[in-house]
Amino acid sequence: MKRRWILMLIASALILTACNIKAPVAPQWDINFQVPLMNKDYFASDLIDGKNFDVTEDSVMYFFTDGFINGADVKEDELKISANEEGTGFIPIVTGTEYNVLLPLKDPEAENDVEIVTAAIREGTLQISFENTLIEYMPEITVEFVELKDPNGDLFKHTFYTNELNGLHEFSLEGYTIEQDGDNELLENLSIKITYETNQDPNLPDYIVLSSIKINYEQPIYFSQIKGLVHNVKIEAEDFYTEIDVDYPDNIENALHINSPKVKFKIWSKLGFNVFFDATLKSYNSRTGESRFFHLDTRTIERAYTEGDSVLTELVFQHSIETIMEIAPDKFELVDAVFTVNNPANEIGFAGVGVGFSGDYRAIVPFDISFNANEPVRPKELIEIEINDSNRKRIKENARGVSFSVKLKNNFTVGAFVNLYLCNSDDKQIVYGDVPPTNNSIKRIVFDDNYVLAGSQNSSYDGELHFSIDEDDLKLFSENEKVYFGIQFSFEENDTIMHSYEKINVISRLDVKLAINGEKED
Amino acid sequence: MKKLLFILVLLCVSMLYAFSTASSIPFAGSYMQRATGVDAIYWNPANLSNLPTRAEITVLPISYKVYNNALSIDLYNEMMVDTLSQDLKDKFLSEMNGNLNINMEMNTILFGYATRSFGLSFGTFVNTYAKLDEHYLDLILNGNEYERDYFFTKSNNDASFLAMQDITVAFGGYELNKALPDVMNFLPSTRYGFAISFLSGASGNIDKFDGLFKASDDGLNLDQQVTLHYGGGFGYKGMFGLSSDLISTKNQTLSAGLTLDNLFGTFNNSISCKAHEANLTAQNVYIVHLNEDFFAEQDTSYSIANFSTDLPLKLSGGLLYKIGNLSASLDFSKYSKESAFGSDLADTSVGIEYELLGFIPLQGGYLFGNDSHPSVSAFGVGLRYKYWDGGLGFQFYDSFGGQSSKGLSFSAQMAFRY
Repeated sequence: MKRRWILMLIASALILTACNIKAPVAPQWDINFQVPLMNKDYFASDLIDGKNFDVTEDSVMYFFTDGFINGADVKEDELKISANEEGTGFIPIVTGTEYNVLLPLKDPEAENDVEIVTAAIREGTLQISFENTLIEYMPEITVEFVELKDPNGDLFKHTFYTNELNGLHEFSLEGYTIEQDGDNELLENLSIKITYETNQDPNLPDYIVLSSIKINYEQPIYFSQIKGLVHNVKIEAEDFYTEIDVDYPDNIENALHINSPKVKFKIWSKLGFNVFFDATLKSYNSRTGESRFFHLDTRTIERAYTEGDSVLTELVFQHSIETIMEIAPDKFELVDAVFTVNNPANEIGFAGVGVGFSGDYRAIVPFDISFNANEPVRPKELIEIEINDSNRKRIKENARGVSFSVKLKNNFTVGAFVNLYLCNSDDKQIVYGDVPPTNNSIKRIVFDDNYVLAGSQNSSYDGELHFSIDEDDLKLFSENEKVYFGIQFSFEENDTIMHSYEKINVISRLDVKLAINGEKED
Repeated sequence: MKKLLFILVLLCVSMLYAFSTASSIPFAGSYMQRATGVDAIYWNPANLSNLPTRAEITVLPISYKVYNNALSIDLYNEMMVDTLSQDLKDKFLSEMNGNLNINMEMNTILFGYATRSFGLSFGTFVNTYAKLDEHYLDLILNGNEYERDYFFTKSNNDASFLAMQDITVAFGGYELNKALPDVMNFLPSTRYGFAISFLSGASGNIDKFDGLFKASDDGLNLDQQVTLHYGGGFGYKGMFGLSSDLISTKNQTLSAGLTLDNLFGTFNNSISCKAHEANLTAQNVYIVHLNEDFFAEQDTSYSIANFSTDLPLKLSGGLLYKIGNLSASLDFSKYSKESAFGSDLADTSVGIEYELLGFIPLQGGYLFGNDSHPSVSAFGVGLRYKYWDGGLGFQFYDSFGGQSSKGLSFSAQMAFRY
């Protein structure tokens, strides 16, 4: 029995031992990954960036800037009539006579005084003086204005009793209004009715001088609002400058072709007079230090016809501003903007303190670009490639070789040299080699003088380039969290206009040979 | 975590078992008419009466299979080196027919008792398989080709597990001829039997697997969508078998058998039924954008309604010819449709046995390969006495043994009779 068991075990062992199975191990092997790195169209318009740059539906490139007209309001002291110290002069009040006196409002020599149909007085003082009063008749004198109303809407009417009929009496006119009933004529004088009473009435004899009265205003009267005429008032707007945030390609000043730039103003007027608008535009190019200015032609701003309404006037300034725009400005300024109320036709209008003009403007500058031969053109933005810790470690430990394939599809109608740059600095001057690296840790890889033939709008020229990165250059990817990719074009012909829709399409592929380290692999 | 635990438990259960009974391993499944006693409960209850003694008890017979469609032991050993050469990678990939298909199957009978007309068995069966697309392995081993579409579908990416325990009661060995009218006396001596199994267990399947990977000038594109479901439950099935003695002389016998399995079979999963959806997409990704969120990931689990595990009807037939100490068998089987139990392709196997010295059976078998599995060569040796027998079995895949096999099966069984 025992022998039979042994026989069976031997037979089993023979079969089992016939299978030699190795202990599992994780081997190492190489793999080749081909992964897309980027696919980017560099339109002519893409060579420029910034929030003040755009392209129309018709593929017209333009930059623009917007500004505002602020502070162009009638100031407090601008609506006034000058002081009238003489006023009515002293007028004897003689019994038996009715008095309708006029207080002149217009000083022919005060050219800037307003002329009034109606008005609201903001500040002013009325003076009424008496002298030589005959006390024994106990006179009482009443002064009543026909057009002057107090804040309650009642006509100015004041009775001076016997004991008040000497010396000066002052009345603040703040809040008073000057109004005419149903009349639209300019007021040259304020009408005043003067009456009297005595203790002898009704048996008072005629021709007795009861007192003398003078009505005047020794200080100007300022109005908060008037209807009438305003002469030679200048309403100044605040100076306003705007930064033009456009990232132009390098050397754009030599390549920019301005096409019919415009400055469009939209100005809303609440003033009841036509005015003249004058202003100066200034442009600055901080890169070159150049600045230019241009005085805009005088234009008329339409008046409002109803108080409270705003009337829009649109102004367009076109050809004349070309010179200030052709420097590719990055700052634009509106200065000395002034609205002048001249009113030569003496049309009755209205004005008020704090009432004036508001608006905005937009400068639109369409342009084309042409590049000079062999003048490097670079997109403003570098492409950032972020490599995390684990990938850097893999590249360091596993990468056996890295190569690039770059397809360049040229729709520009000129051929171009294309340089590619990889660098661990985001300083464009370092990336493109304009300045030497600032320290030894800066590492650059340059693939230069790659040429693509001219294409056309409908048919691109396709070129494919291959680059290998040697072991030392691989450190750029294994030792840096970020690598920056730059591209530079140098077009080969002068004065070829680039349209915004023309482009070079850059497609890049990364061919990576990696060693999979078996058990060492994460 | 609970899901993982659930799957781990199922896999642990799977370590206990297999479906085709341990005794059939040395014959590569050509075993219908050879099965007696406890084995007959599962193979053909009609043959319960073939037991040479009054009763039989089995002691934890176990079989274990693991095989794949590509990796032979030789190739496996070749690949267990420090560095994989390109030739070796190509060789490995060339062995696949679209995918790497890994199968594992185990079964055991915890307790089995049979008389000449009755059988009772508690068995466990686990079958798991997974298919991984050749393209995935190609990507892992070689990297990718630019501008090439890598499509991944369920046909090459799949996984399934099935773990079942059964309590099977069988009745058989009944003479069919006695129940037939006299006009049918020309029929050979034929017996019939049947078995009823009560099942419990769990299963899970991948329902949807769609994937795309492409690296091109348009960027890196990835779209991967997987949906699977799993759950546990209960079911039952029946088996009916016939067995005829076509030739029965003193020196030689020829018998034929026929079974229909999974009759009225149903398995309803109603416990912890869940579905899991995982989607991963990345569109037009470039290396320069990798610092951004470049892919969208969605991972959702949710409860689902009860679902059924298919128990497809299985038709099997077998012939056994015996002459002296030598016997030869031929079996075939076919499921009515593909399921977790196997493909719907017909399986054909042959077996042979020689009883050396009358008590040392030397066994061999061969299962013909098809699109669902490689061919299987089997060998076995044992000791056989009237009241006791035991044996060991081995199988090799796509090979007649040795290092070129793409898998191994092992079985050990022992039975006592009285």
